[in-house]
Amino acid sequence: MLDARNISVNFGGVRAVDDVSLAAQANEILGIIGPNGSGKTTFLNALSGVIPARGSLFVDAKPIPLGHPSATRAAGVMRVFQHPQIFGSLTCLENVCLSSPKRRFTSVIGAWCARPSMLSLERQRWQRAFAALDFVGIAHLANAGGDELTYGQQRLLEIARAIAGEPRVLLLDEPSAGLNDAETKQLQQLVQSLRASGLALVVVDHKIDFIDALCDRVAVLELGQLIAFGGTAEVWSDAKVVDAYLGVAHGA
Amino acid sequence: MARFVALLASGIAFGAVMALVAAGFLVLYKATSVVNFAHGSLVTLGAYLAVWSIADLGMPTLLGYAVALVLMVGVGVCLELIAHAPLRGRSHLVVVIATLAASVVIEALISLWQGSTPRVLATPVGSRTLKVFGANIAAQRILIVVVAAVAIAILMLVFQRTSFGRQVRALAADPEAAQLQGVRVRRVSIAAFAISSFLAGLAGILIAPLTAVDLTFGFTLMLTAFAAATLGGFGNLPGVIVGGLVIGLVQQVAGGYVFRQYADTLPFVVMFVIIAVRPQGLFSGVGGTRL
Repeated sequence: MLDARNISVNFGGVRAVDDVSLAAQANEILGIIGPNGSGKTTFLNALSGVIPARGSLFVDAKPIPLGHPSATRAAGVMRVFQHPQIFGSLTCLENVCLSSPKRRFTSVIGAWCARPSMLSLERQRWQRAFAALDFVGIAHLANAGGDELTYGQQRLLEIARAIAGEPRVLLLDEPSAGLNDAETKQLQQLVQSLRASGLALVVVDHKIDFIDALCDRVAVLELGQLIAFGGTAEVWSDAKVVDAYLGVAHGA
Repeated sequence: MARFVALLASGIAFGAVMALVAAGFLVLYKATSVVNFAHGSLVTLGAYLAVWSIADLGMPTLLGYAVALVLMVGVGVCLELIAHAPLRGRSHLVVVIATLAASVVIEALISLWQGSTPRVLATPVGSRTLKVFGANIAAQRILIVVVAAVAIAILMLVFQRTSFGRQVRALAADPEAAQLQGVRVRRVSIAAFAISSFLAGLAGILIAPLTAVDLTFGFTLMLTAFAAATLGGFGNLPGVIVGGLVIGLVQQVAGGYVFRQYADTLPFVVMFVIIAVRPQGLFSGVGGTRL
């Protein structure tokens, strides 16, 4: 489903991501962990096209140009950010409607010339958006402003918006950051139910317990390089991972 | 009393035109983050196109207005394609300079086309007046208020109730995040230029019958509308509309009673005071930077 090959990102003379290749299949949750500054978020930024990067990206075997967020979006790659990027001046329902891939009759002239079709499509967009809000459990906040939500609710709203975008691949950047235990548990169930719907999910997080409970395979980055990739049990026992991320047991 | 009513009517009509000009500014600013200094020239062009259609081509007045407004939509699209699209992604300063250049070019072309002799624009209501509380109110002023109110109501509906409006508001809040949600920046930008240009033309056509149309006709209106936009809070459509009305009333009523010699400068005095005291505008909750 998602196939990223030889992705590299440079910031001036610093190589933040160095020749990283990763793939995620449908119905799979791929976790990415690593210490601070290891290039996890930069890697997601490269995949979502918001920064220039080198390498190749394929979604369903189709090549997607890097550095073009609209092309990435059109290929069905959606992103949930580390800090929720909610439009505070829009209601929750409007926030979610924004990501709808069905864009016919949304131009001013198109809307004016084909008013019944526009209204019918707009109604469908609202229904799908409401269903997405219901899926993440915040349908009761549909008409609340984005800036009225708590941090946890903003995160759920962002996930609802991503779902309404009918993605093939969903990138989640530190989704559990700032959430309490109950909210983290709820998020975990949510992500697992998304996997069941046929998506490929890439989850970046610091919490090893969260990643361990959630992911089918894990990639570990250190200083921009991929140092381990495989099943969770295999990765947690990898000597380089223990050394770089989990810590070396004294006297071992 | 009659004098007060006359000044009040004059202030509301002038304020309604200011609100239209400022709303045109704002649509573009929200969708593209561009402060368009060619907006005044677009106001002038709208009036000249109407004069050309009616006086030069002999069209009926309303048809002439309609032709001018359709042409203004085309002008807005061309302006986007020529002066904005090639600079997308460049610094805002570069784009602002491009709009200034566009303004110079538009005025030069009008000058070559129409010369520098002031022209007069016909109106469907002619020079009729209505007697209200002893004051003679020009029917054109009532026409201005009605048309501006309808245009602004439609604009607010478009902003609040349509997919296009949603995309514009998302772009205004965070262009990068909006793009990641699939908001089509280029299409929204073209539509915003078209709407902004239409509103500029409409403002020019409405106010022109009360004055003479010359090359600097739109420039003063643009500056005054800028004061209205600052007063209302630049990102806030209802605030900007109220700002336009306040500026119109201040200029006409205060200028009519107290500062007759300096009536034209009053909007800018208000603007300076607002920038110094409440830079985010009177009706905006968003914090601005105090100068």
